[in-house]
Amino acid sequence: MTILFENIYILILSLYIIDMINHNATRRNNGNNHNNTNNNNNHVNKSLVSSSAVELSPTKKIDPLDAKIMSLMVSGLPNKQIAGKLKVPLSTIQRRTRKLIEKGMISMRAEVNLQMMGFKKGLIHVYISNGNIDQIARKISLLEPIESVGIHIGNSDMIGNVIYGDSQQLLQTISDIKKIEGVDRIVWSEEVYNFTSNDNKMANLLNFKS
Amino acid sequence: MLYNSNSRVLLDKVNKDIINELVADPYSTSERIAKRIDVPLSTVQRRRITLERSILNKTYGLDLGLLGWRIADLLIGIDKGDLRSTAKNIIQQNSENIISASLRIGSPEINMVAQIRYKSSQELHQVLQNIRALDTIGRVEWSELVEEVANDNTDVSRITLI
Repeated sequence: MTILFENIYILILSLYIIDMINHNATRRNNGNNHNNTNNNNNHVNKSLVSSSAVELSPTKKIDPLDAKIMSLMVSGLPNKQIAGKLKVPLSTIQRRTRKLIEKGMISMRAEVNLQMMGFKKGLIHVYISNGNIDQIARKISLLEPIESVGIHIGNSDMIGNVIYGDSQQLLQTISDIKKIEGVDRIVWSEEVYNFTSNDNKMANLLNFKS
Repeated sequence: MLYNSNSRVLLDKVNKDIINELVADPYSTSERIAKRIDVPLSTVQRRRITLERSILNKTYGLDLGLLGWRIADLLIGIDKGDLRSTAKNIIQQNSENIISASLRIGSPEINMVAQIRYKSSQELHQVLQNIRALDTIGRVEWSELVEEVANDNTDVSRITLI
């Protein structure tokens, strides 16, 4: 019974991916078609006549089996288990995963669990008073405790992920950011409880709406 | 030389070098790492297994942008009631959009941050409305990611700061 539910789950996830990719491909193809019509009325966009594979761009295609493989990879299953679940030869899974990675459809990331080692994780929201967003973001990213910086629209202008050992280090980081010309104000927060484990987060990423 | 207090992983130069190599290139082979850091292959293989079973997490991720999703952080101020139960309620109501969520200290007005994905501004608006409709919510702000400027998590030098 559990296996049946797992298979249904995988099927639903895969359908979500295909639907999403189809949606994007159609949107892009419509855009291409519009341009092609302007340039050459006799030109036929080949991706529109392809029904066996979805084309994201000239170099990126995906088929239903690839979508299923992606679902299981993101869920954290190794190739051997993916092959068993999908009843496909391991060599096929290995070849397809390699191609998916080469095409940039899916990527592996290795990161150190710094929180497990006693570090704290925080967010620093930065509001700027001038237009030098890129320059300020780059300066902030060079600070040692800053893990990454994202430029945003909406509320704050940029958000930095910060990893720090103690409050003094956080204070020093905030002070260093405030010294940067163009920084108006800063709001920070420290993570005290995370609701989603890494596995759940990754699984959620595939829970696409149709 | 340093030990991680939780899992007793030795954090000497060799382990740090292996971590740096793997964070920079998760696909790197043990042979390649052994050559680059000038350590016997068997040492790299043995230590790599220990690290990957403890503090080094390897995960697969999708390019959400390629799949048409936009990503934003929601900054939520929960004014009344139990923080965790309200947060769980928010996650449950918006489970198709929320990628991750955490409770936070620091800002007096923001005590929860949720990262969400959405396809259109209407969808974002709907999520914001869902959250604002809760009695215990004081404020909700959003900030959409448009560009990742830098990510220097290849550097494990900060480990020495413990």
